[in-house]
Amino acid sequence: MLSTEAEACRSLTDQQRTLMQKARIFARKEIAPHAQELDWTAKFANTIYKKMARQGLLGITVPAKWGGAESDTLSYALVMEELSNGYASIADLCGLVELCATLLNELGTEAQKQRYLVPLLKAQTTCSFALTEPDAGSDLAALAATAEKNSRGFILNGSKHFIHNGPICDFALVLARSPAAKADDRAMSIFIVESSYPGFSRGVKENKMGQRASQLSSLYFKDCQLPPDAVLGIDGDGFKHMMVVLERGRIGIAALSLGLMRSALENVLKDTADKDRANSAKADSQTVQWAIANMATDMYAAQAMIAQAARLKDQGIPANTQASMAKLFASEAAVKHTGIAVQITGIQGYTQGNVLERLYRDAKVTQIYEGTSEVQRIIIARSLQRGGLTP
Amino acid sequence: MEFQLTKIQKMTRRAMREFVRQEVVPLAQALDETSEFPSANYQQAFGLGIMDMALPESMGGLGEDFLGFIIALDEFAYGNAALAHSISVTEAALHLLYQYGTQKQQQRFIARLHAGEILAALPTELSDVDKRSVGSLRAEFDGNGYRLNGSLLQVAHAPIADIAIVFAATANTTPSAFIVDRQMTGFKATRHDALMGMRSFPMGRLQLNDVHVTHDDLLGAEGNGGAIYGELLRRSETAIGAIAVGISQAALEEAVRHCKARVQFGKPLAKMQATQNKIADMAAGVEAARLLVYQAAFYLGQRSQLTTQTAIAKIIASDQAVAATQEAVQIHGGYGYMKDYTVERLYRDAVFTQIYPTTNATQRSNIAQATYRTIR
Repeated sequence: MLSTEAEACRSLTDQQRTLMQKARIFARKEIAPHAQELDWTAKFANTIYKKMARQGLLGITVPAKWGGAESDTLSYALVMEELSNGYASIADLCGLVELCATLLNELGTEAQKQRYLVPLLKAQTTCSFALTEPDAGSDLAALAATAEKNSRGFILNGSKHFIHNGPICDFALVLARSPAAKADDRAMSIFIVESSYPGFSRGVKENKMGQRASQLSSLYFKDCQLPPDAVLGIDGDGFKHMMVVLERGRIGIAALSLGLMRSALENVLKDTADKDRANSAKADSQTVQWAIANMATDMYAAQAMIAQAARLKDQGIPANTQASMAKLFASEAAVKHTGIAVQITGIQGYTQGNVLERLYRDAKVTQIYEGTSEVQRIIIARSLQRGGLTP
Repeated sequence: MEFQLTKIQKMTRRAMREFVRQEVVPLAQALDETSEFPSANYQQAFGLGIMDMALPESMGGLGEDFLGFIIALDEFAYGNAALAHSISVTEAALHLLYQYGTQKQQQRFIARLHAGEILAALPTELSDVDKRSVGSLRAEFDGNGYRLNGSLLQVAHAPIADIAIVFAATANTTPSAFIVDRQMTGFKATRHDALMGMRSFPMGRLQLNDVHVTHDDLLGAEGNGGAIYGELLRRSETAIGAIAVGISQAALEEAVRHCKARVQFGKPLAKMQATQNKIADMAAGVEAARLLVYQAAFYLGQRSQLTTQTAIAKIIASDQAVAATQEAVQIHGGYGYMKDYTVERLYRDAVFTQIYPTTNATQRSNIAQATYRTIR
């Protein structure tokens, strides 16, 4: 019901609608029934990952000749929303593949695409996207990982942490200071690092509050020997390359937050729609009605913001600020409304096994990863202060 | 109005703070992971006289007022909110037994509760007590006593308690309070699935199937359950308020330590205005909540006629705890989402204070009704 109206509002193309519907059915049948168990066991959802690839839900914006869905950013956002409506960790896995696949597709050589992109979109391999370091979180300029040229290619040193898929990845796209131009602090390069390279190691798997099926760990590179063709894209332009894909990443996380929020609303509605006496009193309660109304209003606003940012990006118009606004708004709303949903549901909503209990934990990290809310505010404000967006 | 804590209350705070940081804080994370009852700390708290601080000396207590207890609870919640909640449940049971129990009941139970030998369970889903429907528990007369039937979903300590204080009405009378014993035939308690937070606090369902109780098991006068329940509810609200304050205090301290140490963009987060605004709001919120909770405890200790003071303190303190823990995690960034960091637990624990003993939505409805009666 919620989504049909949304479809009409968003006037989707056939391809966009087909992908969205495919993701919705997949979320309902293949993801949602396993969400609770995945949350408890915190295991990598390998079966779902493989099925997602077979369904054509990996690499939404990547050309078909590499195994992608050859669609646009809006389709990607719709898929992320639907997958997250099943379970946020699965959407985040789809988002991670999208980021890595986009970089490989846009920057990779033919050989790199054959070696990394093709098997990735078949879910035959797993990837990581390694930016964050212990001392370089929001502040990427503080990056310490360094690559030095040697006779056999590059020697990589440094450590990355909170790396999604860290415990299991077959290869990682690692941002490190480039040997190209040492003076410029933005001279960084992206290196493709395979887990079999000598000097590559992983930290222990992190134990997290939510999105527990997402596997996180540190990655360590100690005199890690990389071949000469390990650089992805232009040597020295890594930071710029990363920032461009992060724009789509933020739209993806906004959509993930939205899908999670929609799940909370659907559960509150289901809970209060029951016909017995106790619940009909609850359905008539204005406290509950206000909560539902506020949640639905924020949901629609988030949907519009996400669709707008995605359409701009698809038209080739810079949407950096709009993507940040959508991500900021949707993630803040997700935390707020999942919290209210637990509160009006009482102890049931606080008990494990209840979807709302998980959603409140899952929601919080949307304000943190892919740029914290604080970083989004800095991006938005700077853009306005430079006159980049008409207020 | 007197804003000074007494010398003894200040001493209590200092002693508890030291004890909690040495003995409670180091165990809290593991207890959260295993969901085990914090037996060691609970026994230590008894040893320190926390649960019976507000009991008269003749009952083995310290003869302090309720505020002294609330100050101690604030400090315990700083270290482990689930432990603090167990302490407050036992304190409330002791208080009810002292206040309403017969000499025989007091002899039978207080010393054992006091020694930590037995645990009491208390239900909280009795908001319709005025309307005579007490949860789903019903009492029926049967010659030499009553038969109790029904089940209560939300009973503190139910899975491990030896006795439970329950409230039940008959068809023709207002509710009465009863002390039921785990040994009685028909007493069944089950533990809830794990909760999001407060994980080492045992909550459960209490089912009474034709449990026979006699007049000796009545707590207080027959038909006086409503008043006793009201007293329990006000005590629980104040205690949960204090627990929310302790959680907020811990969130504030963790946030401050992290933002001083964490350097991004060439300076500590603490130097950034956005962080300062967050810290200021957290500090202001903790201060406001603590004052309200302490004031409610002070009045309750004075046995003043109270209407909404405890409920107001509880909703302000619990909403504040949720806001403070959300910000504390945010200030920690990715670290705050990891179970190695205290704020991850605080974030989950805080929500409990918004829904217990009743949800803040119910509390607000009650506060509004009382406010309508006052303002004409």
